Amino acid sequence: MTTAPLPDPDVGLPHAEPPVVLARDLVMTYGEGDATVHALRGVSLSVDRGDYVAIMGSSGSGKSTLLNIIGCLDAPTSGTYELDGVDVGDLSDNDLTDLRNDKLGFVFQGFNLLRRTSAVRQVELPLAYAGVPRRERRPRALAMLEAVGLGERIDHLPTQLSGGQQQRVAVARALVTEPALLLADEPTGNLDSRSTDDLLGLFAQLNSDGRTIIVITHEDAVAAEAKRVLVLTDGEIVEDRRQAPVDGPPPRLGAVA
Amino acid sequence: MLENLRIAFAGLAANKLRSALTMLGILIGVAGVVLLLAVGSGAQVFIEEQFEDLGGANVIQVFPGNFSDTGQESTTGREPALTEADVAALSDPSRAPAVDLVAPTQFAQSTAVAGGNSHTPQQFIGATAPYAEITDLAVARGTMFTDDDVSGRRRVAVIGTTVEDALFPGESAVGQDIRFGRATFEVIGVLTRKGSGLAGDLDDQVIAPITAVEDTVTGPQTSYSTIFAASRSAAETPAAVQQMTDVLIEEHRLPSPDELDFTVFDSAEALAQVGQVSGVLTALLGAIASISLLIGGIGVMNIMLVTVTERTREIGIRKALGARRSDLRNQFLFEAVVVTAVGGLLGIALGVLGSLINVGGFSPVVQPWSVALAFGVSVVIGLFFGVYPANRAAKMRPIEALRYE
Ligand SMILES: Nc1ncnc2c1ncn2[C@@H]1O[C@H](COP(=O)(O)OP(=O)(O)O)[C@@H](O)[C@H]1O
Ligand SMILES: [Mg+2]
Repeated sequence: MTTAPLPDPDVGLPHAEPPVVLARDLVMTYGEGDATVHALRGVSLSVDRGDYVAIMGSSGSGKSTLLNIIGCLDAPTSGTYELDGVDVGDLSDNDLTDLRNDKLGFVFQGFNLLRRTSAVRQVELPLAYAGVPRRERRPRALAMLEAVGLGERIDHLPTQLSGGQQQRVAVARALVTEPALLLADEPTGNLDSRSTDDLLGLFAQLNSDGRTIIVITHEDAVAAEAKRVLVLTDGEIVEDRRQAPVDGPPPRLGAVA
Repeated sequence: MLENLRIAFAGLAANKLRSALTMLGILIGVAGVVLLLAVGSGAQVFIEEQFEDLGGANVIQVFPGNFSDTGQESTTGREPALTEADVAALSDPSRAPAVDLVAPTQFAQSTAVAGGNSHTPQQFIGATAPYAEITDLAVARGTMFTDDDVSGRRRVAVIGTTVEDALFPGESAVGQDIRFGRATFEVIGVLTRKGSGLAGDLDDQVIAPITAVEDTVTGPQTSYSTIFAASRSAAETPAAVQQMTDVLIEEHRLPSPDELDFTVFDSAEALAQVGQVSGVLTALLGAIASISLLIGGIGVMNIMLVTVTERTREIGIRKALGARRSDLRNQFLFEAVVVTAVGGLLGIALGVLGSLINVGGFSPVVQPWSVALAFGVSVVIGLFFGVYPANRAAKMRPIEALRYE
């Protein structure tokens, strides 16, 4: 895939810093009494800067629940979670919002684009909330759309875009603030193989540029691209397999080199 | 802040029909407030003009009997009466220096006949010459009767245009004769047209020397119907009223100023009373309009709540992307305020336009303060009824908002 070089994320030396994600004994239960669902049953996880993690598992195994906690969109029933050395359990709603805006890029399952907002405006939005001046937003959003391979149709509404194009908008929106950690929940879920391949190429590029990526998938082909694969079953990590070193290139680029 | 405003506009534009309908509620409310208040103050102005027609702020009337009494006989044991002696005393500049003119009147009721036509005027007044000046009557054609006519008991009359049209269709009445019963009066003047007012058709009247009226129509009377007087200036009216009261107490030898057998009434006081009534009317109209504005406001809240619920997912996405509580609150608050402010402006335009229409003989008068008030209130309604939905949006937890289908 043809991608313009992405701006460097603000990361320093990989090993001198706390892990990007440090979770201990995460438990998540939904509902009460007979209806109680144990979505997570004590998950501990540490992800270093520069890693590329694929989370696999059958449907209902708790993958989305875990990613939502990592993305500070939800709080666990018990357990602690530190993002970049900051215990998020102590943060207020507004602080969490700022943290998400500053450090995280989230590609949602189903993309979650705003229905009545043009592609380029979607990508400008995180910048607007980050307080980036109006004049800088447009060029940065355009550059990011260009980088994810959507140079045209940028004034179209999501409904006027194909699945692959919508996904590119979602990725551009997640990346435009240059977050240290990119989270993606089944980003290739409903995509054709070409779009999937384009996205994997982009992720590999981003990762080799130093960005940490955690991606949920049920496709082996996607998992094969990651440096590390976690498998969840019934709210527990049952497998943690490393496929490539954290500080090396991702498998796709490593194989080419 | 500016960004939130921009997003709010985009949100409204995305849902034009709903925004327009919400706006309509406010629009009607505001137009109602502006229009009804305009009608109220138009009525007030109209009433004030009517009083001007009756002679302005220095006309004073004295009636026999005490209006505040419950109809009992006066304590002097006499039938209350206003007499020639009273008129003479009131006309004495040393006793009532603030009084300029005095004119006793006798109200008569009779049908005028001329040729084959007959007509009963609304008012048939026997008066002395100053009456015309006191009540601001002027003749358009012919002349007014004079002091000589009064002292000479001459059977002459000045009539309004309604009477002229009824008795002498298509002709001038000046110089012609009219009959009241067996008495014949010569029409010497026709009054300048005044139009209709609170007191009915002001052109449907006949005035004649009081002496001639008593000689022919009413017969001799123990009391005048009223005494009209004019103060030297509007500012001296209260003094004139006081002096006249004192003079009449003396003339009637009343034991105490608390038990009057006459009533002095000045138009300024009457105007104040009527003004109070029409002020209440205006307030009432305003209250009715305010209720419709309130209902419009509740409509705004209703729609905003629907909007917030419907856009829960949008709220979740925005929060996930970094929208702080204040961003979301401002966004939805701006949406509400923009709706009500624009609705308010359109409502003002409609209200002002509507008040150009004449209602029941008078024109509504748009008060600048009512426009400012209506606009201010509509913005406040936006804020007030927007705060709750906006806060609900702001406080949503992102994950719950995102899960919302
Ligand atoms: N908001 C919720 N309320 C109740 N149960 C939920 C909720 N979200 C997820 N669950 C349940 O928690 C479990 C894990 O869900 P999830 O993390 O979405 O799984 P996955 O993404 O691996 O398919 C499932 O059994 C699901 O039904
Ligand atoms: Mg899931």
